[in-house]
Amino acid sequence: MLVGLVLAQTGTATQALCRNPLADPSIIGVTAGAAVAAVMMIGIGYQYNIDVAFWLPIASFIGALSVTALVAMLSTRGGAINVTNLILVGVALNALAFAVIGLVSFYADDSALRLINYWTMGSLAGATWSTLFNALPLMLISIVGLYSLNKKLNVLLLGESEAKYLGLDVSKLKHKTVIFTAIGVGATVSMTGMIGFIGLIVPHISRMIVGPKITYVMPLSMAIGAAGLLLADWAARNVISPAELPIGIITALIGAPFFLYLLIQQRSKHA
Amino acid sequence: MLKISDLSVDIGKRTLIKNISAEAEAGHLIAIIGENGAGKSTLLNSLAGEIKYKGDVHFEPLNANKVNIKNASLEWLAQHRAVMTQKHQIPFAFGLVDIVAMGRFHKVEPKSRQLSKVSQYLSYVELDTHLDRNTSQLSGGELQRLQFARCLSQLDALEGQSTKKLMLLDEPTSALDVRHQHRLLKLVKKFTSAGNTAIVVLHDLNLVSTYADQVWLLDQQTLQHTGTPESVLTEERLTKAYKTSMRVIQHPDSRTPIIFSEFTEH
Repeated sequence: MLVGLVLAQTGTATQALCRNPLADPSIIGVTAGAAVAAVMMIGIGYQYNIDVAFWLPIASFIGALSVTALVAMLSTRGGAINVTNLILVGVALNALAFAVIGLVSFYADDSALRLINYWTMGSLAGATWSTLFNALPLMLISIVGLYSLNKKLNVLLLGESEAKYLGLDVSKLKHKTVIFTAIGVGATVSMTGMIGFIGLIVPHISRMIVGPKITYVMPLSMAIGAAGLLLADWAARNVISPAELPIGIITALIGAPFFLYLLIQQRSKHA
Repeated sequence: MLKISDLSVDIGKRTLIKNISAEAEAGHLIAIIGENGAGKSTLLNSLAGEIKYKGDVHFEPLNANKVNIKNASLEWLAQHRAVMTQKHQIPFAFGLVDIVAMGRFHKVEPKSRQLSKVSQYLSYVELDTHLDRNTSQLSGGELQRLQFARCLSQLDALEGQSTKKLMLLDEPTSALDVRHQHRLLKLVKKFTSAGNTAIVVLHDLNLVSTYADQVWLLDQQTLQHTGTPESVLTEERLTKAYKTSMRVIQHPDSRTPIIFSEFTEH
């Protein structure tokens, strides 16, 4: 539930930051970045007997943060994030991330390979109380941090210049949002691997219910995200019971068509 | 009230505006005019603090100390000056009340007061009858009026206040019908007549003639003429600045200039 909550909240924040409903950490490559770092950590950790459980959340956070910085740098034109660039950069980084993960798997030993496999598909099966305990502080920082920014993120939706004219320190807000998002994504990825699309769909559902105000969308998304992941988890456990499907497959099966639907809808709006 | 000293903006090797010095008095509506690319928006954006410039801009609200805009805090600026850019679109479908309320982001006030203020400003721009719509359902002109209401709300612009304020408007009437053009500029006049200052980029020279107290005519990246509409809006000056024939006659009632243009190849 906590994972769903964080995923939905970081999705809401990312959409506000980019002023676009198509943005989501998993689409712009942040999640993949965290996963690359996590997978490398597993690969290296198993070979050199490092305390993987402890270092995993930190490695994921660093991966998420560096990709976020890279994405922001590559998709900025004239001081503002260009959304087409953002998504294209995300596509490229996702592809790159999968290549690196593939490379690490190629060299990894059997036990590491199995873990990596679960990682890339996203699964709650590997999440135990001890991994939760390691990731919990980071998740809490992300939750509280992003929640405290929701009023400001709302004003940011007016536009970066406009928000600045209204007294908002826009660059500081963007930095904070990026860091808290990277912390949250890093922490969840370290526990469950890549669970995509929750951050994309859930804020959208919330907006349909309460309108676009972030002060309403964020708390509702957190609740729906938590409930949604619980539901997806139930589905993952029961569809091919007694075996358990990786939950990332469920969210992607629902999420990817939904993403296409949003793209088509946006295009018809601008046509 | 607002003093611009030797302001220049260069981007790379291109000079967008050079050596502009001017003063905007308290209580004045100042119209910036000139052809496309003359530097109007650049000047306004510099005053807004949106782009880097050489030179200084001092803002001196009555009963308050002189402030160099470069050094002013974002919060101080939010309390003293509002900016309306040419971008009016909002990517998410917000309620009209939400947008105007965002203008009051920097204020600490009870919700009930905020709501009553917001509906007051929405009624000034005649959008109070559209409260069932959201921003994606408004026309271009209606969005423009909504953004203007947000600026009014930011400064509580139509209330008598001791500190005087500044409004920077970039072509605020570009999408409006004739009646709303007049309504909007009348509201700006109401704002300035209380001792505030407004600097407005305008293309309609007859609106300039009717509403401006002072006109700044930009040509070739510099400020060529400043003065009353009667002194700046002359056939000779306008013909030179706009590179097309301009005729100026006097309004039979108000004696203000009326401007006609004719296309001529240069």
